Order: sequence, then structure tokens, then C-alpha cells
Amino acid sequence: MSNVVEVKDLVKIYPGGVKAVNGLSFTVREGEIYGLIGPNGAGKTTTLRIIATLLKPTSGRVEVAGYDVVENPDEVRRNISYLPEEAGAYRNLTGIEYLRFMAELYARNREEAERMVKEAIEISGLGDKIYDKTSVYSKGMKRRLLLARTLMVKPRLAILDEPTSGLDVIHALHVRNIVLKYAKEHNVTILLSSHNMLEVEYLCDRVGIIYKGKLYVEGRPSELIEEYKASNLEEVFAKVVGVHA
Amino acid sequence: MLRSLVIKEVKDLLRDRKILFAMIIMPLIIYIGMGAAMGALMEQSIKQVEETVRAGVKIALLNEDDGPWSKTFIGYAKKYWNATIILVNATSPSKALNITESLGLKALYIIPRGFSENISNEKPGVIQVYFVLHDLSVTSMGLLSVYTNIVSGFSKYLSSIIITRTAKVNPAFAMAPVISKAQVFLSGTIVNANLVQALSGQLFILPIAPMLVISYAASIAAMSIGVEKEEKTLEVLLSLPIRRRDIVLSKLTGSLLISLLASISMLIGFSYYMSSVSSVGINNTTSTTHVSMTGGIFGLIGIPGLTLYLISVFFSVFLASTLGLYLGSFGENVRSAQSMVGYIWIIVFFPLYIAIFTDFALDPLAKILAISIIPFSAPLVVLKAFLSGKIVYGIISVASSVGFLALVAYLLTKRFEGEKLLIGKSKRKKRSKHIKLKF
Ligand SMILES: Nc1ncnc2c1ncn2[C@@H]1O[C@H](COP(=O)(O)OP(=O)(O)OP(=O)(O)O)[C@@H](O)[C@H]1O
Ligand SMILES: [Mg+2]
Repeated sequence: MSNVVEVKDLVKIYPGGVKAVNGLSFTVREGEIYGLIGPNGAGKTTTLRIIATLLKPTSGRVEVAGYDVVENPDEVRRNISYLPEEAGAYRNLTGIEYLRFMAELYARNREEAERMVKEAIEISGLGDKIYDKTSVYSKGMKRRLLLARTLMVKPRLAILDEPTSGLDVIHALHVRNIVLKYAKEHNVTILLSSHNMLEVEYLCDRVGIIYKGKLYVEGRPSELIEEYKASNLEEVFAKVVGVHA
Repeated sequence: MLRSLVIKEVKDLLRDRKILFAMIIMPLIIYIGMGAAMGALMEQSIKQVEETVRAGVKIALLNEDDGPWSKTFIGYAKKYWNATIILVNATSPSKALNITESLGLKALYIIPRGFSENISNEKPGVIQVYFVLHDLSVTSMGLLSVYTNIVSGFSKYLSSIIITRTAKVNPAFAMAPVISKAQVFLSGTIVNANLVQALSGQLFILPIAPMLVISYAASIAAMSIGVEKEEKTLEVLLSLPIRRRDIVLSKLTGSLLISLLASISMLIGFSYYMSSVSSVGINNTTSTTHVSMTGGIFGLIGIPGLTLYLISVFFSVFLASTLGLYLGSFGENVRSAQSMVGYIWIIVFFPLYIAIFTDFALDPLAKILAISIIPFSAPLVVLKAFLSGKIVYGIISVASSVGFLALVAYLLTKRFEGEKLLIGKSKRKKRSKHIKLKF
């Protein structure tokens, strides 16, 4: 199977001099759900932003669907849909107006756009609230709206930076099921980051633990648990990060 | 695609109550409110003055002369102004003034000793007018002119008496034997000089409208990027399958559309203001010239001139939006984005006013050229270029606006293509800023 994301020797130094990513390499295969896990400040968001063409790598190579993020950013953007860690919606638009606006940017025709919006309403689970302005939404409602807009376009690659952060247990569960269902039904490849080990264990085909901008271990959750003689991924994480801390 | 971006831009901005209020409703309220208030107040003041005059003014008079001509004056004031003269006795003007004030009168005339003798000897006599002013109100100023008019009216009245007595000529003729009728030859047409004077006055008023629109456009554009940062929508926007220059273009189009709305609202308000202020008596003559003048100035420069003028206004507004978006992109939220462009009106205002004081016929070519090239002078340079027949400067000025526009648009697109727009200042720089703030 071909690789949707290829990251090789990626280094990112911020203008202030912070080395956020320090020689990171990993690949995400077609159709899989790949989880980046790591402590705060490990460089997860920075990596995802580079893959989403928002930041430029200091050195190293990043390819999405065969396109280089530096040389062909427009092509890369056509293949991805990105949910940032911290994101809002336009406060003066209603939920449905927001979705329509986004759908029009991706869809080839009106019918496709309407189909996307319909699906997004279902994913979001917002019901009639979809007709309210987003300024009255709670944090969780906004997160669901944004996740719905990320998935509704059925991208080649969905990049989700902490998709369930700020959601309560019920909604997080709902979102996880949706992500899983979408990835498998529509053959969407998903690259996500998370702090929630339960979530990662449940969702991801493979995970990579990154720390101080480097990849320390990579593999299927079950394999990692076995390898580290742990009872769950949380313990694996603690052992890996604890060892290197 | 671009269309849905622009629609989103306009919807999001227009539904913002702050923008709607500040840009569209405020100008209407301010101008219409101000116009109505000014109109009403002026009317009231004029009525007050007229009523006082109709009822007959009361004047305190210290008559140190007490000769035949001062008696003529008293007769004149009573007959033609329906005035009540109250004679006061005092040894000095200040004492006479105290008495005047204690009587509750507003004016004191002093006719000094020798007044009649002077006039009889064909020397001018002096009548001192003291006006008791309690407030610098429009009514007081109106009354002051009434009291001085009584004296100047008397002077004319005397002239005609003297002329009738001593010469066998028509007094009306003798008092104004020569009248100047100035005509101006301007860009190939003969124009009344009064009109031209009003016209040059209009040159001061004309830039105000483009200036306001230009600063609106800059601040709306700045707001449109500030809002993306504040609401954290920028990151998604930049990851969408849209070319960065289309994002820039949609933001500019959105803010241009809103500045157009703002200008229309301002224009309605402004014309209401002008009409309600000028409908009042005091300003009547000047404002009628203004009205005929607006047609006048554009009538003089013709359709080509008007076309280039509109083009120059368009590019100035476009340039301002682009500059506003660029500068605003350095802010972190709506407020700081707006403060980045807060002073843009200065760089707009100065070129326009330097252009007003530039004489296209007399000033050195280098100066005219320099003024034509600086950004934001274009609307006025075009008017002046057409009035003076030196159309080439109008064209240079518009071309220079387009050049600046291309430059800023290039910088702007580069900024949207780079990563600095999203991550802003680096943390290290931020820290040094905090230290600076302490001082
Ligand atoms: N705009 C920025 N300018 C300078 N340094 C930054 C910037 N953004 C992040 N960093 C630094 O880069 C490093 C990695 O940050 P990043 O946000 O990628 O971590 P993360 O793994 O996403 O953390 P978290 O789990 O807290 O979201 C951190 O040390 C952070 O301070
Ligand atoms: Mg992060």
C-alpha cells in the first residue's frame, strides 16, 4: 500500500530559536488511522501544521499524497482537511452557513455540497442548533461543528489535532465512533494527535510516541503493549517518556 | 469559489453589530442628528435676533456731544430701528458700562465730545459701541452685528444726506460709482469669480469624503484579518484548498463592498446635513453657490476628468484596503489590528492637503511631480490637473497609485504565503516587548 504521508528527518526551529521538531521521521499508510502521542510541547502540533502546509520545515522532507509540502502546497491542500488544536467558527454565521461555505469550497457541484452539509449535520449531532449563530455554541458544540466540517469533505487525509479535547465522555465517544466509521467507510486516511491513551488505543491502527521533537517508538498499540510488557498504552507511554525524561 | 469566500466575508462583517453600527449607522446618526440640531439651533438663534430687533432694541447712550448730529443719530435709531434710547449720565465709559449692565441692557453707545463739530467740519465722527457679552453664542453674535449695523447704517444715511446737500448727483451713484465684475478664465471657460472662490472653498471640502471612505476601507480590511485571528479561524482558512492570493482578494473585495455601503450611508447623511444647515437663513448665499458648484467643478473638468477622478478614488480606496489588510495582519486581534491602521488617515490627509496648496501653474515641475507620485494624492491631483489643463499629472498620479497598490498587494500575498501570519512574533521577541512595556 502506498504512503499518504511521508515525513523524513523533519526539523523545525521557530523564529524565536525554539527547536520544536528535531529529526522526526514516520509514514502514514493509505487507509490507516495513525496517532501521534507525546507529552505537552513534544512537537505534535508543529508537525501537524507542517503537514497541513501552515508552517515551513526548517529542514527535512514532508510529502502528502506524493506532493511536497514546500514545492506544491496548493496540491497538498487539495488532498487534506485539517482540524486545528484550537479553532473557532465565524461567530456571525450560523452553524449551517458555516458548513455551506466550507462545502462550496470543496464540492464540485451544488448536489455534492448539499450532501456534504447533510452529512456534517449528522456528524455534528447538533440538531436544530445548527441554525443558531456559532457565537452561542458551547466549546464542545463548536468542536463538533469543526470536526464535522473536517470529515464531511472526505479528504484523502484528515489531520485531527486533539479531536476530542474539550468534549465530555458521551460526546467524545460519539466522535470516536464517527471517526472510525468515516475512515473505514470512505477510505479516509487519518493522522491524529491525542493525550487520551484510551482513545488512541481504541482508534489507531498504529501510533508513534514522540518526545522532544523525536520519534521514540512506533507500532500497533497491541504490539507496543506486548513489547513493553505493559497492561495498556498509558503504561507504555509512561515507560517511554519516563525513561527519556 | 471566490464568490462564496466574498459572501462569507461580507456576511460575517456586516452581521457584526460593532461594524454595522460604526460604519453604516453612526455616520447617518451623526450627520442627520448634527444637521437637525444645527438647523434647529440656528433657526432659533435667528428668531431670537429677529424678535429682539422687531420689538425694538434698547440702547444706553452716553451723549458727551449733545450737538445737532448726535440728535440726528438718536432720531435715526428711533425711526429706522424702532430703538429705545436710554440716556445715561456718567463721568467715564466704565461707569457708563456699569450703569448699562445694571439696567440689564446689552449695548452702550458713547458719542464723544466734538462729534457734531467734527462732522460739521467735514471730519469723521466716532461712535463707540460697547456690547455687553454674556456668552459666545450665535444669538449674541447676531445681536452684536445688529448694534454695529445701526451705526454703519447711520453713516450711510448721513452720506446720502451730505451728498444731496452738497452735490447735484444721484446719491446712490455717488456712494458706489464703480463696481467690480470679476471673471475668471479657467480651463478654457469664462467663469464668474465669485463662483471660483466658492469652488476653491469646495476643494477643501471635496477631499473629506474620499478621505473618510479611505480610512473606513483601511480599518474594515484590518478588522477582517483581526477577526480571523481573534476567533481562531485563520488556521482553518489557510489550510483550505484555495490559493492564498484568492483569500487576499476575497478579503479586499469584501472590505471594498462594505466601504461602498459605508460611503453611501455617509453621503446620505452628509447631504442631509448640508441641506438642513444651509436651509437656514444665515448660510443661504454660500450654500446655494456650493450646490451649483458641485455640478460646477465636475462640469468644468468634463466627462474624461470625472472618469479619471472616479478611477483615482477607486484606486485610493483599494490601496487603503490593501494597506489596511497588510498592516492589520501584524495585529493579534481586532483591537490591535485596528490600532495598526489607526493613523492611516494622516498619510491620507497630508497628501490631499499638500495637493490643495500646490499651484499647478506656478509651482516647479519637480514639486508637482513629487506630489502627483505620493500615494493618496490622486483624487485631488486629478481635479487640479484637469482644471489647469495639465492632464498628464492626473495620469501620473493614478499610475503611481496603481504602482503602490501592486507593491502592497505583492507584500500582502507574500505575507499570506509565509508562516509569520499564523505564528506572529516569536516568543523571544514577545518577551523583550514585555520588558519594554514596563518602562
Ligand atoms: N509560535 C511559536 N513560536 C515559538 N515557539 C513555539 C511556537 N509554537 C510552539 N512553540 C514551541 O514548540 C515546541 C513544540 O510545541 P507544540 O505546540 O508543537 O507541542 P505539542 O506537542 O502540540 O504540545 P501540546 O500537547 O501541549 O499541544 C514547544 O516548546 C513550544 O513552546
Ligand atoms: Mg499541540
